[in-house]
Amino acid sequence: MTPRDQATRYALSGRFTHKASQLLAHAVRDQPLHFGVAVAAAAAFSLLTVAFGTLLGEITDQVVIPGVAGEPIEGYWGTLTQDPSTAIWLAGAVFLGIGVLNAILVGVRRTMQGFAVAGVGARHRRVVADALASLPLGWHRSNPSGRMLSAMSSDSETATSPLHPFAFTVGSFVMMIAAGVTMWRMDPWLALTGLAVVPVIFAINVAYERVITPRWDAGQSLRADVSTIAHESFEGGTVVKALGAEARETERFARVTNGLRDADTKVGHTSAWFEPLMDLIVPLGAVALMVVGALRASEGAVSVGNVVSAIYLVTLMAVPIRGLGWVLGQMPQALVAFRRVGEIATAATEVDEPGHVTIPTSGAAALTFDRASIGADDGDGELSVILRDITLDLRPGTVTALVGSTGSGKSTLALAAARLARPVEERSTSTAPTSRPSRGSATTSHSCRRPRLSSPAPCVTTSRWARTTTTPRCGTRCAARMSWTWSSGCRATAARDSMRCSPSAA
Amino acid sequence: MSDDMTTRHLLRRGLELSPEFRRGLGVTLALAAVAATGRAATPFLTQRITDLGLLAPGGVDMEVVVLYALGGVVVLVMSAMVAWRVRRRMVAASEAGLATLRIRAFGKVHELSVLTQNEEQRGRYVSRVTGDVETIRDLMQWTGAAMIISAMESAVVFLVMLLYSWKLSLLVLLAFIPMVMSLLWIQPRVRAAFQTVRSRMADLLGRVSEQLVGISTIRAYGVQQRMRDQLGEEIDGILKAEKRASLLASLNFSSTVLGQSLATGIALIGGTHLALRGEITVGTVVAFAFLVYMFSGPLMWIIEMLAEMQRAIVGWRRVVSLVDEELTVADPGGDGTPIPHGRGDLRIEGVHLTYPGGPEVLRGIDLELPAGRRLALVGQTGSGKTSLARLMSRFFDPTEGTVRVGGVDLRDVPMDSLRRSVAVVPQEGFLFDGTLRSNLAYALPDASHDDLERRCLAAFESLGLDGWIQRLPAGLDTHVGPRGELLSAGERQLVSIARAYLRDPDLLILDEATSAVDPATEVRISRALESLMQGRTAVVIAHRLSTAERADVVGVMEQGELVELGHHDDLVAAGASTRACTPRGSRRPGTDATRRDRRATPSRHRRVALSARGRVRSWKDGRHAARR
Repeated sequence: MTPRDQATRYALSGRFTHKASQLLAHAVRDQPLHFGVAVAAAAAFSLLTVAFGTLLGEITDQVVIPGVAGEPIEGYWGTLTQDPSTAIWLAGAVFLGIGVLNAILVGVRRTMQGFAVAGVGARHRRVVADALASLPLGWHRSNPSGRMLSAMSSDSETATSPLHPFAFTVGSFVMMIAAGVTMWRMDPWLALTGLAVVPVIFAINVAYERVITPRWDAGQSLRADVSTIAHESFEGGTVVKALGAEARETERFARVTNGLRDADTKVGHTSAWFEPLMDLIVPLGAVALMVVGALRASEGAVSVGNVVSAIYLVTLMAVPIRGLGWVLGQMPQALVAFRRVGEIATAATEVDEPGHVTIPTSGAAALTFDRASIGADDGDGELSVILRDITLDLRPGTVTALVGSTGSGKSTLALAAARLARPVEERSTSTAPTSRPSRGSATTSHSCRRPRLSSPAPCVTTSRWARTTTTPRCGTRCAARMSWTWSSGCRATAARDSMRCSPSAA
Repeated sequence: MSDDMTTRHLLRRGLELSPEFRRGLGVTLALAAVAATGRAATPFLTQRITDLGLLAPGGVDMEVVVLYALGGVVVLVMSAMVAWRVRRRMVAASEAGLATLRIRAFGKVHELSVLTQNEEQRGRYVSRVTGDVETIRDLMQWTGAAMIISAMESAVVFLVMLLYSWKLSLLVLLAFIPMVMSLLWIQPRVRAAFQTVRSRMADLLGRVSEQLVGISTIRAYGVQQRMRDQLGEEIDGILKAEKRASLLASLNFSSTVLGQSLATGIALIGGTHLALRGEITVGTVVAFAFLVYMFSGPLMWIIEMLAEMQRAIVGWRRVVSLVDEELTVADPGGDGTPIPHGRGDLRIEGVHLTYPGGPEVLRGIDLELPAGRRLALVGQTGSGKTSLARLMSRFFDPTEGTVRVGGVDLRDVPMDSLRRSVAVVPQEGFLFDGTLRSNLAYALPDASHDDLERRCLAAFESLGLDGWIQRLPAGLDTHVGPRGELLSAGERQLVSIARAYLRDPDLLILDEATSAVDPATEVRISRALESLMQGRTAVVIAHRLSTAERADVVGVMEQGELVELGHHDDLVAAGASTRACTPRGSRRPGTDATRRDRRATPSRHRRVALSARGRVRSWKDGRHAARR
């Protein structure tokens, strides 16, 4: 896959839901097999769980109640055996079977899910690793190394965080539908009562996210302050001691720490109502089901077993809905992290294509700049031209020293000779010993000696001065002739003349 | 306190350090028990409604159902409210306790002697007051709280189960034994697997940093592909470790689900058998299915939390160890003898210093410096100059011997008196992120805003720095940035000098900067230092020859000993260890005279020495010993 294809896959557009689905689609496309198996296992698990609940009610109705009452065993179980004891052993075996199957399915889901998420994380890291090698040097100069490190670690992890409960959540939708259908088939009223907990739990989750997010952010920023002050104060520990400012510093730290305490207490108080409220909804739903179930049972519309099943199913549904809450809760941070990885991938696509001329590797080479303009990436993907219209001829075996004030472009010129900076015009060329013009690019003599390691770029052996900057083994020939190139006025047109004539001036 | 303190000891000491943790704990626990009991209401209601309502003889008894349902709603809502209070109380108590612990640990770091505050330690100290405290927070509010509540829930549910049928309860308990065993086996392995993932991750980040540092070299040598392959290998390694970890973690989950299913199955089979024998009702059997679920849930939580808890305990132990670390430099406080004002005379007797676990850096120093005199310490790197200077400001204590300022042993001087009388201008001017004003305020903590401004400006004027301060864009409100990096190294030095001036100390310890600054600032610094030292006793660690020349007495240090002591010119004339008198880092061509140069022009030096003799002799009248 080319870097460009790689970067396109990280494109995000549209509103939140659209972006969220793009993130999920990226993951599924990357790990179709693992995600597929995980989702299938989750769905099968859901169906079996619903079956387990139904069976629970059926056994209550057909085996336990008649058995205890001394009446004949009813329904399907009745056709199997009339001995309540045997029937219950059979039911127990079925329960266990479902349990074992469920355990296996959970194992499969978790494993595949873990593999899938690890795979997507590895994909993010590979994209970043590829970019690291091919990003323009200007990017590296204008972005702190922390940017690359966090892309490799926390960004890659955060971008995958909503994927963890993904299969489980998809599976739980299956469970919700299956449970709804099962309850509906028992009795529509039971189903409506039971499913009423779904929107309530969902609404509480949304409200919680809304309230907690700004509080959480406030806490995080204070946490950063606490860390900054500790860093600073300990770093200046000697000064603090010399000034006897220990108490003052501790007071300064205490102010921020107490601010953090208050912010964290606020966060804690918010989750203090959220958790018990969430825990309350399901039992309340169960109580409502009992009342509605009793009413329907008194009308003869449902059996006792149906009510038991419905209560069990409602209890089960609580967890998946919270799973959805986790996915949504992680999504905003994940999208930011995903975008950051994508940005690096995109920046890496803006690299010149290498050329295809191979340079003979023997002997000293000449270096020619023919009206070259050299640009550097300013880090925002914009190209700013550092050197304009440089014409320079360096003869083989000569040593040239570049001098000039800071910022005059000495380093850029040297970098351009090794193609570490970018010629921005077609005619900007440095050439091989044969003086054959090639598309602007050059590498140092070192890569020429090891052509297999370098990309198939046209390799221009630079003149001696470049070699002296990279290796101390310059020998006697280096000292033979040194020419000075003034690079102070490279931007000016007038400087062109001096650039052109200076090598010969030596 | 050692690292291997027992968990019980840790808990006791930890609670002692943050008494807030324990505040109202009894009430909180009682409330938690109430909440847990309330949560067991659902299965109980299910049983009652099933037995008495749904299966009532003569059809469904709606009255009973509604009655129990209403009662249930009341109990559930109330227990939720109690649970809410419990969590609030836990949050408030733990946050308060954590803040106290954080502040204590922070203060402690500053109390520790400079010896323990090296570069490497510093990062660790920061993580004590940040990351480690966070792990305790998790323990207090999530792990620990969840464990207590979960344990209570499990206990209450089990109690209910016992009340319904002790036989069935024991059966259920038996069904969970294999699950608990397997979890105890898997958990450490899961933890180890995740540990591997983390350390692999650290390896990858190490590689990335390395490549980022050498990115130009990588490009110049065209070895991108090899570097890419290297990272690829690390990434594959992480992937492999992650896969292993998730495989183990899913085993963990599978065994949990299996245990739960097994217990439910056993409860149903056993329960029905008991029901058939008339020992329990149908409602009880149904209730058991839910009770098993409620019993095992918290239990699983506890087992999963054990790993988390260990992490938190480790963090807590680290913080408590820091707070309990023994102080090597103790403040005598109110019992001490303050240094009399206006007396900066220094007397050092038989001082030896050995760093813990290190070699002896000072070997028997005797030195006396009368008030108002200036001593320049010269010597090569590692000769002990800085250590000696640090003893004078009691950054640490000598292993043997005494250091007296104003006639008082520094060990007996209260810290605030010491800091008032002795000021230090360090080599690198460190400033705190803020304005010039806020940095200068460190010297005058009690001054009002206007007073501070007036005195600061006066100080700058006396130091000849009024021109410099006026040229700053915002004057005293100029922002200096983190570590003062918005200012140049020389300007930071100027602020340090002003800070010391505002302190108005009697004894000044000065570590001359070695770093090069531009000539204009250099002149400003030396002028400001000259004004600062006027009328004070001063000890200068000299790196410039001119500084040594201007001192009343020069002490030459060599391998922890004061080998020569006298006026610069005398030392030069005597042909003493001039290699030490020609300090490294002297950059100004005018003063950068080598030994040979000086010997070549003896007449000039002798002349200077003669004119200075009177001054030297008057100093020599005091007690001094130039040790050999």
